[in-house]
Amino acid sequence: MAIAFNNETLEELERICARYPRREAALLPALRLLEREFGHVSEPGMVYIAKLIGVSPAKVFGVVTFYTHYLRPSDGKHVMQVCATLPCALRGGLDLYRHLSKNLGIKHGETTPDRLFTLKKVECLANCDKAPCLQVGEHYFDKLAPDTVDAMVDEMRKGRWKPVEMPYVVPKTKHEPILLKHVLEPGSNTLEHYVARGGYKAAEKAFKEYKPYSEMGGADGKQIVKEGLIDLVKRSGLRGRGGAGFPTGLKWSFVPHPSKNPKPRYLVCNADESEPGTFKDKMLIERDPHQLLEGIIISAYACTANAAYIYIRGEFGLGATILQRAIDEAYKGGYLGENVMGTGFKLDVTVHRGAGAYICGEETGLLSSLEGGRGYPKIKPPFPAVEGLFRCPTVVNNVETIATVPHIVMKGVDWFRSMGTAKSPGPKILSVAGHVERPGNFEVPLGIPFAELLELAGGVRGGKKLKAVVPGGSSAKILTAEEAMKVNMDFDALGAAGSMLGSGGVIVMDEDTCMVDAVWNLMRFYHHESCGQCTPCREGTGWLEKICERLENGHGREDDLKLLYEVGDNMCGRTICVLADAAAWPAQSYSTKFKAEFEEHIRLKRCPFKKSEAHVPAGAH
Amino acid sequence: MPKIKVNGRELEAAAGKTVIQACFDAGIFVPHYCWHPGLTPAGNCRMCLVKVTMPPPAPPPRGLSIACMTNVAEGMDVVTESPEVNKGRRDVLEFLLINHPLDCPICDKAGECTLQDFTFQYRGGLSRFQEPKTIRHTKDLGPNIKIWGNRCIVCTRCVRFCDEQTGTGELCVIDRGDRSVVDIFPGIPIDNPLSLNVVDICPVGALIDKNFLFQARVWFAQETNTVCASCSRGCNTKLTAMDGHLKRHVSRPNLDVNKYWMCDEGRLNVRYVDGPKRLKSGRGGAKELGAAAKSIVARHGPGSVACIGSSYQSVEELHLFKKLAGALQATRVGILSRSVGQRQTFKGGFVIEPDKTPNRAFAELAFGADALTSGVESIAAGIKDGSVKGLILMNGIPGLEWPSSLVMALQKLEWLAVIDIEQTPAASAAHVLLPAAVWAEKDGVFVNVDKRAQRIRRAVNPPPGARPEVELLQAALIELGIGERVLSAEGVFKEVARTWPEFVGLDYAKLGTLGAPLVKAMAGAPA
Repeated sequence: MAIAFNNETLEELERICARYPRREAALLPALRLLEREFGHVSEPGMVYIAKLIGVSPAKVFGVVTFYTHYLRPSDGKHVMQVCATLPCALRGGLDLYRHLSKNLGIKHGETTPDRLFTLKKVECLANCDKAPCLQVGEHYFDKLAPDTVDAMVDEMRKGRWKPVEMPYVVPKTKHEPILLKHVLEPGSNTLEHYVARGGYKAAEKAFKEYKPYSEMGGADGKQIVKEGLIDLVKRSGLRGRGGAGFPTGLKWSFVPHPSKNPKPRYLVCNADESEPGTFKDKMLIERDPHQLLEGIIISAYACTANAAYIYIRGEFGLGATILQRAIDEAYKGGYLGENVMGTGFKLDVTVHRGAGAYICGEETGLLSSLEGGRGYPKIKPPFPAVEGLFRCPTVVNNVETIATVPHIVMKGVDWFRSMGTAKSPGPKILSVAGHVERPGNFEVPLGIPFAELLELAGGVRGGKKLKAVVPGGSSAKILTAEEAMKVNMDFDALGAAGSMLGSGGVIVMDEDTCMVDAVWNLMRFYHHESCGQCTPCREGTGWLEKICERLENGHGREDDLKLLYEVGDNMCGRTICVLADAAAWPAQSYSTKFKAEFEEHIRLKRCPFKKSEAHVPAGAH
Repeated sequence: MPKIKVNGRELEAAAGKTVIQACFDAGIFVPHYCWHPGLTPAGNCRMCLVKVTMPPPAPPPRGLSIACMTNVAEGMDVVTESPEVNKGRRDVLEFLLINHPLDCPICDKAGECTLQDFTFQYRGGLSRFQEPKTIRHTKDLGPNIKIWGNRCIVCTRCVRFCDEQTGTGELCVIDRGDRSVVDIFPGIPIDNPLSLNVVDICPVGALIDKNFLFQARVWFAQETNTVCASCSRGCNTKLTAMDGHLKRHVSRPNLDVNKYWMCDEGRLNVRYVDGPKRLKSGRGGAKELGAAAKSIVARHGPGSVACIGSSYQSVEELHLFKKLAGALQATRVGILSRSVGQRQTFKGGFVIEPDKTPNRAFAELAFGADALTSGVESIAAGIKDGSVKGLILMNGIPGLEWPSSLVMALQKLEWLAVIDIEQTPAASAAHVLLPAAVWAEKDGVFVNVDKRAQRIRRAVNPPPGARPEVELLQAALIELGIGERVLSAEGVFKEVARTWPEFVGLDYAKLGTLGAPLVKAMAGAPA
């Protein structure tokens, strides 16, 4: 059967291509069209797309095999994707996988003979408060147990299954939510709802009262006479909410002034939320997309960017649909397009879906993917602000960061700085998961003690003792219970404590957790997600996993801890991007802070948390 | 031009150049894998580590930098050898080796592999990796290329070559992490006219030329710098020979001719050298050629002997041939040539010429353009109408398609002498048949399409019955009373330099391995 799009789809493809300055950038969206029209991405399909886009078939093949989320011809009707990364594993994710595997009679990567089911273990789905979780098609399913998943499979076998949207839960605390204020209200993701609660007033204010750049004056010409948006955000002290914590206004100021660089500029919203333990952006996208769009409008205006792309991870299919609907509403309402809100400012916003790769959350990996390639991070310098997307000045900001901007513009710097600390001002959504009673997204002022956060999350599950805490996404160095209970949740305090705030993904581990098993889980994650470009990360992530596997399975050797540390050292700071560091930090910190436990594994030649051969501890494999 | 220091030595480097390029230009070697001077840099192997310090107020450097992605800047201080730099290299090598199979005993690349070389130089033999290795595919990528994926270090040189130089994009990297490896689209092999360059540039033994697979260990072989004879581009090449047989033909850099590349046809067009059609025994000798030709002229007068040469012959050979024609009062001279299709220009600028002979430029200079366009036809007509009684035919073009008018006419000749390399219709009809040497078996000079004189060098001996043409022609000339002894090709070239203004001041030493443009511009040609 020859693969060919009908005229309607061909026109749709052309409309998509027109949203990018280079046709190759439409490759990933084109592959999604192929997937939609034919149910999967096949080899003849790849040849067809190659011709349509104007690249070689080999280029398309390299792209398709890089990502994990495209459906392939071997996939069955229901692709059951069980999250296997640490936060879900801590709450029975691997048990769920094993149960499902037994029920379906297949293992990871396999499809049932009747082609009804494919089973896959996947990496963090950004749904950690609802662990253990499963994705089928676009839909997420939460807190699964053997009986609920059996019921689901049963319905699927009978052909009667209908996906039910899982409700969001935002635990109420004494801290007044700001970004999350309206996420649980029905219709909160519509334009009508947004405008009714004062939506787009901040953008209006930004255009009316601010220019991008400050007016300078004074005797030396270096005094700010009238503050511009970039300096406003700089003064607010807002720091990136995606993981690096880089001062946002400072990043914006690195973009060359239009008079110095005539190239078009781009604003890219990083919606690739993939750092294990982080699940805040998903909620913001699905439940309050206009808040994000308003932030994009203001940020684009500040950076003199007339085109913005929202790079959203492939698994967030529902989020992409909701975003596109909001964007369509915004265009219709005059908030986007040739003449934003009557100001003459032009802004086009395009949703660009990823296809399953953690490394596309790295800003330059994201740009490579946006340009239609494998998600390979780029060498820095040059930095994206100077030479980024399509070699033009580009600002890449996280969803939460951008969504905070309208609030700063509307309510001012003093208001923003009234929360948090001097160096880490403002509110932050902390995603708490793992062994707590009430996992969830907690919007709190930066700087609150971890001890308070733990209390808000209901304390350690089942009254168990706290053992370890990952404070800022799986890449963050682990804190012992003692260290965690003494630390405050802000960028600098956690930095001083030898870890980092990162993305704010907090993973709590109780006394029954095997730290060797936990770190093995994370090493498998980084090994799986390394793009493979540069030598130390490509080879090192594999080596780290293999050592941790042996340690957990009772084949540890005397020198392993020293080896683990040194391999990590040979990776840190020696690569194109920091995924290597992100893999080395857990390997080094877990094996150092829980040294006795690692040594016991080596000495006993088994995992002491395994009570019997059949027993699988509350861990990761 | 920013002034930088490398290992204490001051250098001026062109602005915009990278540190590795500046070092390369200055003859300072920085170990590397993924960088190649003919391709855009990738920065992924991390091997080209150097210590870069900028003058204050710049902060002191944190760790090492990769030289291929660091632009030179005024005042930059670069250190390429130090305990810190060498430790960095050791660590990169350790990572490269952990999954690399210990294939050296069966890998073609052994002996010319920089993974081996740098490992010996910086690491020594001990490994502390004791885990199961990652396995990747071994498969055909095309009619000439096979990949041993376990050896691939994913430097992407080959992928970049197919993207940048040929624009054909047949190669890609598939999968992620340590599963990633070079591959083709299923069913679409790598099959472009320059494809085997990727084997030349593969730093390890991952990409293998199927024609060379298991043919020779490079340490038992000899390499000879020469120039390809398969078209008038004259790409600079190297022949690998072992036990007197040609094993491999690869390119070598010449920025003025072929940059770093050569085409597959030129590379593989060496099989005929050892082929079954080679002439190994003849009839008569060079002396007899001279004597018989003299007698034809004596009996039938000037113009009764004609000469046909070819643009495959070297400068020295054509120079002697012209002397011979003069001595025999041959008024008619023709030059055989071979042209196929159109000039092919590739995305990266590489060119394959339609003229499939290496020395047309000199043939035109020596005998005039008419000899090439109508000389052979005119001689064929002369044979037919009986004005040409004797013919000396010196071909040398392998696999030539003989003009049918000439083949038919040969029967009418009273006397035919053939100097050639292969069994042909003319050879069968010849009274005097002298087996000759091919380009790989002799010294000489070719002038390429850009009027550049370049040396060819003997890499293997001709078959026992064959002799280099310079010897044969000089022996015939001596028989005709011209010259006293047989000179080497180098000696003949000295005479060429005294005879032709375009070659004044040139000699073998000056031509060296990269050749030189001709001294005086030839009519209508670039100087």
